[in-house]
Amino acid sequence: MTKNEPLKCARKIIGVLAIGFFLFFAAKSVSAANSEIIRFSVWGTGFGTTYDGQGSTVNCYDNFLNPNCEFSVGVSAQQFSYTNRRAMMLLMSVRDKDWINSSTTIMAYYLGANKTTDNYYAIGASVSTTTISIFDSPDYFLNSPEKLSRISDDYYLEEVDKMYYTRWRSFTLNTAGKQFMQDNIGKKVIFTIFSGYDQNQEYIPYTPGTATAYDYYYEGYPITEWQPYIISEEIFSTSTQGNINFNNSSCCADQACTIPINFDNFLNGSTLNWSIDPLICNALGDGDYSVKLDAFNKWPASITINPQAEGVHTLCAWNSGGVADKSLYNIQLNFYNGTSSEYCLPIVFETPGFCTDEFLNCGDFDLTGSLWSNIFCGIKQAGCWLVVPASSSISWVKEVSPKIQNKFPFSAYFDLINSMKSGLSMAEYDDRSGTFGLPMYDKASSSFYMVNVLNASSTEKAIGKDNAILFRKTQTYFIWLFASLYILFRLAPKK
Amino acid sequence: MIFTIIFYIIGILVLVFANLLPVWNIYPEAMTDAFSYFGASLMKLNFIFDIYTLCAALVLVLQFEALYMTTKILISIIHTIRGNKTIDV
Repeated sequence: MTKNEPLKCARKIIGVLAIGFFLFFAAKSVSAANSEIIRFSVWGTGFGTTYDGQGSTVNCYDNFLNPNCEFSVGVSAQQFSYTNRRAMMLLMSVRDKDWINSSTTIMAYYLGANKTTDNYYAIGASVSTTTISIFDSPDYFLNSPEKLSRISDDYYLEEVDKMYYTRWRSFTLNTAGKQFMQDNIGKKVIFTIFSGYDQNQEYIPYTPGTATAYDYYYEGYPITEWQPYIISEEIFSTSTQGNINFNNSSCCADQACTIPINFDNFLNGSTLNWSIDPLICNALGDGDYSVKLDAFNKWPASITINPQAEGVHTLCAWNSGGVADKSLYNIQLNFYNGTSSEYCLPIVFETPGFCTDEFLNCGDFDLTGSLWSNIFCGIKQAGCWLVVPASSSISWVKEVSPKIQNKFPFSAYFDLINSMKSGLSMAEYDDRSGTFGLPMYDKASSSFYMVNVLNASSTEKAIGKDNAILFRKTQTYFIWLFASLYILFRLAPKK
Repeated sequence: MIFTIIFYIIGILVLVFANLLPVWNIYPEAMTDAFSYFGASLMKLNFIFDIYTLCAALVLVLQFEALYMTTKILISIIHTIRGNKTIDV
């Protein structure tokens, strides 16, 4: 052995480890990017707690991989006061945490169905005749396939057993004839599959009003949990020319609907018109909204439609001559027929982004057109083709990445993390039902017992509800402050 | 196309590694059970202290450390290849 051989050997080992680390983090990052989900749960309400028709405010916590969030639930008396009819509250799962904002709406539906015999369940909610029950967590339904068998009166999944790896599993998504929403728009079902090592999301598009069979194949670790959610794209926009970005918002029936929009390189001097008829884009429209754009309202602005009507609205642009110039967006507002001010729907839209269909939609190649436009269009399409990975390749990495997680040395990380995670998830992540007790001695029975000295309501009783919430928030801020300070000092250069 | 190929290559390499690497449970079962129990016990204090956010912050710090140390190791390896005699992390 020469003098340099140990060093060479060490280099090789480090090189292999480095490649391993790279592969691991690449797979992990791809996996993480595709597995983000926010799950709501109601904080401070016990299982089966009912709201008797009065407005109630609850806080929510998502899973601990994502920041906290808050939302309010308004339950009006008239909304659920119909006897022998069902109301449900569907806690939404969203794909993108940025979607959560102050206008994020929990959809509360009043179902016109008169069901008195069947025992249906909804995720996150139970239904009674005059009240709506909010479960403390959708997790209640986990590992209870029979409770997941019906999502609502209208959409349900067949009952399934707990799934194990290397098995085909077929789901059938059925839509009943009766729909509580207008069913002429796209909806998706999102499955969140949790295994011991990973969580996957599967989106199942289907044609409304039909039954869609879906075969799901999962090869990996035993699936410990799974949750189906319905993502309703109640209000969506499709763009043919993406110069307007709609910000997240929500629209409520019978109320003014303000949709913030960004104008980007919009036609100066054009008139933006809001029409109710998707087929007619003329100067008259329905008069909901009409504004002439100039250089001063080119950038973030908002349009207000008051009152907005159910149906398809078309956002049109007009040239100065009053001739329809282009139809930009079709926005569909669909509300349940029995409109109420409480029915607010989130606007789901597709933001024109890099290498999206909208980005690439620069028309057919036209020899008579602008040379620069053709070149630019070609560059865009070729560039996107070159650098944007196919979704199948991302899915492929996402699919194979769990296979390496129980192999050494990666198992050193995942074994520890997953055991901790399983422990944390055993308790509800919003569980505030714990108590702090002191052991006391009972002379009569000669045994010890616990005297509860603190529980979830202790703080509120001591300093009031608002202060208790403030105290809780302050804890959060301090935790993140310390975490950020740690990272900052870690990155600080050493002297 | 480029990243499509790269991702497929990464996937194949992961598969190869997954088949080559041994399945070693380096922690005794009692230890993982203890962690699990500890986590469950910890969450029972969530009513008085925001354990959930604390966990999120810890996960962030751990992920930062993993990436930070990996970056430092990679840089030091590059420096070693370029002529450094020692590996300074």
